[in-house]
Amino acid sequence: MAAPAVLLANEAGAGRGHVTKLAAVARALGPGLPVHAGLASHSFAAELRPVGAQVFAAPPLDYSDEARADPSRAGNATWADYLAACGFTSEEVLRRGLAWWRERIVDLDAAILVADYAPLAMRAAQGLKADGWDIEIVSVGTGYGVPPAHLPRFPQLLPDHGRSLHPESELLALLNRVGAETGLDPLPRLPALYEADLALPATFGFLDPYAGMRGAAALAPPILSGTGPLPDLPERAGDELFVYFGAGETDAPEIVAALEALPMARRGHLPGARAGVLERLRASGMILHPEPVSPAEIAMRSRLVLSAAPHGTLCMAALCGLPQVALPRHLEQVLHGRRAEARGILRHLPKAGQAAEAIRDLVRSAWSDATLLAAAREAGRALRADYPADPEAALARRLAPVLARARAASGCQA
Amino acid sequence: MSSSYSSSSSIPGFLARGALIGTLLVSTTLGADAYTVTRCKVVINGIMQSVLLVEVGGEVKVHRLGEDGLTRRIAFNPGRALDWAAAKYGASSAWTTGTSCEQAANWQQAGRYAREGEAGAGSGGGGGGGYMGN
Repeated sequence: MAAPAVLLANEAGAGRGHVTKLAAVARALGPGLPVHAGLASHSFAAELRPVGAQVFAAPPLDYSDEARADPSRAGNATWADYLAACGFTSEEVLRRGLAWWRERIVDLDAAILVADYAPLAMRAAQGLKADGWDIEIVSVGTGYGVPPAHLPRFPQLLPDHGRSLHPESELLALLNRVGAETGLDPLPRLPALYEADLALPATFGFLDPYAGMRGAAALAPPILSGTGPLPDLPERAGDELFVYFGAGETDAPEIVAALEALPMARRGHLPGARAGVLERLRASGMILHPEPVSPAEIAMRSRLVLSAAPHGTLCMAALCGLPQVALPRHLEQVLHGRRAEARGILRHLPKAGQAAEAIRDLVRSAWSDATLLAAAREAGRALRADYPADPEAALARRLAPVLARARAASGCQA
Repeated sequence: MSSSYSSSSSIPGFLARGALIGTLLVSTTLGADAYTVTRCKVVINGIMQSVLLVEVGGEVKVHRLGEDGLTRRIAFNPGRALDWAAAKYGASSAWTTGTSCEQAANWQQAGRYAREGEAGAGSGGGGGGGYMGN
């Protein structure tokens, strides 16, 4: 019998981390499996080349143009509000997504679905599974992106973000009504959308917004984007500022102006930045890497890390004992930035205050903040105590029962 | 290879879950007939399996995955399932309403399944089948 086919799925989220997590799971599942990927965004699809994935364009879940232009037109209290903002209020979006993923799973004879920010792929797989299609559902992401499936409803994530525009019960009713068209049994609760054979909320406990709602044992170690083993904690601080920003940040003139004017040596990787932005920053003396920079190089050279607090960068810097400054742009980054600040390893500037001068002031202040540096070093040591020496081997161990079941169902021996 | 059943002791336990795939209008030497194709989950020898049911004239033939080239990729795609059934039984493409797993379960209770080897397949006809979405 054929080896079980793997379908990697992502419907939302623009960052590289979504794709690198899928790639890490594909690698950890081991060689010899056919790997396919349905990605809403192909910006980082090249990350999947080493695992030989055949990549398809998947229907995206995304904020509407209106919500992008005016965030007050989207809810911001719970994960349900996020789903609503991404299209869960639209019959057509739900119908299109459910049908697309169901068709892909069947056409590709997928036996393992690995879903990162892919709720409709998971729902389609759940429906097929209920119909007798053998498929293992693996949900992977940050703690923020892998909500516990047992919750009666999604909780509010940040105390000062409480805007809900669509009751969760209405979203559930719509999803169930559309699902019924293709024979799906109704979900009892919206969080049940995240029922999986293996859930891998890959984060540190202090960053998990659902920490009080699931045990620490449910967490997996953060899956870092960087290649190579984790470097040793640096003996002493480096002398550079390391910057990682995506297009969302480098499209912000205030951020670019701040970067341009910072006095210290700067090195960075800015995927998606416009050519004009890159030219300006190079002209200001900043060293720019077209490819991701390894954690070892970052740890060796850097005194401070500046980012929007994307989960992967935040965790990598934390493990390397590096103090951080964050300019969070969206809610996941806000939550992670605040949690890291509470831990004492990061200082952040809310989006509304991200003026060039304020950014420069905060970076300069953090650059010479001995308390921040000491806390980051201490956190690095503490986090490493529970971090596996070989994270992908640890991931492979978590995935082994999934793979064994998929192989057994397909009659294929390892 | 297909199985047909008539006694409750030898028939799989049908679950009330499945999907009507479609109905094939079949031209046979005896005239036109309709085959209804349904996918169901059943328990066979204690193991839950998906099967394709092809019903004609009150007889239901049960096709297990892995037999006669029937794969789950075929059984879970209405178009491919009807093509498979059409290739096996011969059919012209047309639609009628059809059976369901619930009906199949009722038939099971009523002992309407023919014994192994008693059910005859249609012949003649040709072409593919249409399908109803599931």
